[in-house]
Amino acid sequence: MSTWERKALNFINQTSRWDKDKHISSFLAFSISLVKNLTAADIALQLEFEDEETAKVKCASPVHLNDLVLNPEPIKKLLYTQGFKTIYWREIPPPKENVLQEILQAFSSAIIIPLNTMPNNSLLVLGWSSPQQFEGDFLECIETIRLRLKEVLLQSQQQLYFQRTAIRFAAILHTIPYALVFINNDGFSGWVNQEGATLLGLSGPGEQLPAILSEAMMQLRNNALNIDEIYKEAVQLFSSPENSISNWIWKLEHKTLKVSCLPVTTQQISGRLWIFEQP
Amino acid sequence: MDIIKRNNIHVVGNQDALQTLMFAHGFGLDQHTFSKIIPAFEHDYKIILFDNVGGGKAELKAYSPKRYETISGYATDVADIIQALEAKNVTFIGHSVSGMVGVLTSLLYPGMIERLILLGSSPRYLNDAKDGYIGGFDNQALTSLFEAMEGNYHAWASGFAKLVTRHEDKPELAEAFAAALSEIRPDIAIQVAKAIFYLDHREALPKITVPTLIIQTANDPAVPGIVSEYMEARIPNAKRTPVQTHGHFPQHTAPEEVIDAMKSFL
Repeated sequence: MSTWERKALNFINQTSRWDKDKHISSFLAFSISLVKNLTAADIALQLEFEDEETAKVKCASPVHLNDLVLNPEPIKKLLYTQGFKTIYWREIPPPKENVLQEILQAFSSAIIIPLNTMPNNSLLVLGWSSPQQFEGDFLECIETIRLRLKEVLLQSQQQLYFQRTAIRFAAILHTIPYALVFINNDGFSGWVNQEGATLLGLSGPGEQLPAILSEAMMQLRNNALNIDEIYKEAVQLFSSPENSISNWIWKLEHKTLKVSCLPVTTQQISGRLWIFEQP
Repeated sequence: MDIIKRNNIHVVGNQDALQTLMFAHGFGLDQHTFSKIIPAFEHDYKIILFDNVGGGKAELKAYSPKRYETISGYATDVADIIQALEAKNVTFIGHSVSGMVGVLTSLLYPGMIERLILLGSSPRYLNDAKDGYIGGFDNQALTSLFEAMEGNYHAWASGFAKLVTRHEDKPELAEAFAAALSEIRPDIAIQVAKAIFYLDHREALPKITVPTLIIQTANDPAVPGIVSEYMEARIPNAKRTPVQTHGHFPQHTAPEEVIDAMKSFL
């Protein structure tokens, strides 16, 4: 096995372990730093096309290049003309042809590795102060690293997207001034907002097992002063999974709840959403 | 996008001159802020005037929250303008935040800018207790500033304008600045203000390779005098000239002194 084959394997091994042990937000920065070390590059950075006007430097080493803004259009043109393949510059082109002149000042050789993932496309730039030959085994190593980097980038983007989405929806649902309880029909997952957790006397909001939620809701129902009326309505409600109810009154000792129970049915999820209002 | 339109560029002065002056306005202003300075240089220099995207008569649809999330986007714009106009022998005069924009452009595009004139500029506005750096603002002050901007932007604009002009004998200065601030879309003004007040380019100062003139007013509420001393000590080839006027806008309140300082430097 050649040195470059070993380095490619090393890269795959180390990036396979990292995402299990460490936080996803540093996964890509770690991976780019690893590429820089393995290839003995003098500069390594990610350039992300954030919108039509913005290509932004991220995960840069040296770090002072971070947040640098470049015009995306000339760089995209270069990528198109090269068919989105890795570009190997054994010599840096003259300034007028060098679309990365801001970040490749005083370098002799560079590699531009397109990493196409949606929604934001990226590229990785590596640069060397001394001239490089980029021979056979090295090229194969870079192409292996490129494939793994695409996975790393996709995984990072997706996980960060899901985290942001979860944070946003949790914030919205916790702000709604009603107790919300969602029980998934899969029997394994459920969710409750802060108001709901307080109403049901649970330890906290967020993910809860349906069994725990059902138990807490049954206790609430059993404490109702109009328990017989509630049971009558419940028999009707649960006679079909498509049934729903609103303005269902649960009279408790110190308060009255207006309850809604709505089926939630999409391709990905099915369950019931309970809404408890205190009029 | 057409850069001339994007930045509302005007080239005035002597079109055949070998030397170019490029004037860059600060936050809340536009290219007219230099109107008392320009006539003194029109005969001998080609003069480039432009509006920063998000302000003045720059193309509003060119404003990208991503591109202008930090002042780096403005540095790229300056390079775009110089390249589009094929300007040579450029002296960049940056007022307030645009001073640091010029610094970044000169570092990222070596040879593009030959001299820098920093007018009421700062590499960091926030104090840094760890390094004993005094920028003039602490975290609490900035939090209050942004709360005020987000709460009632137009009321904030009026108060902020009075604070930074510091010329009670010339209320028209504060009124004009408040009016200019009020014309900026509030969401853009808040984002740009955050990019400015949280910037930190102290590490860039020792890397500056071009001759630099620092012009500092006697009492600038946005940039304490100690900041200009800090810059002078760290920029390798810097000269500092105090101007005997108060406030953040010496180009309005002491144009003759600013002109003298510039001529002496040029």
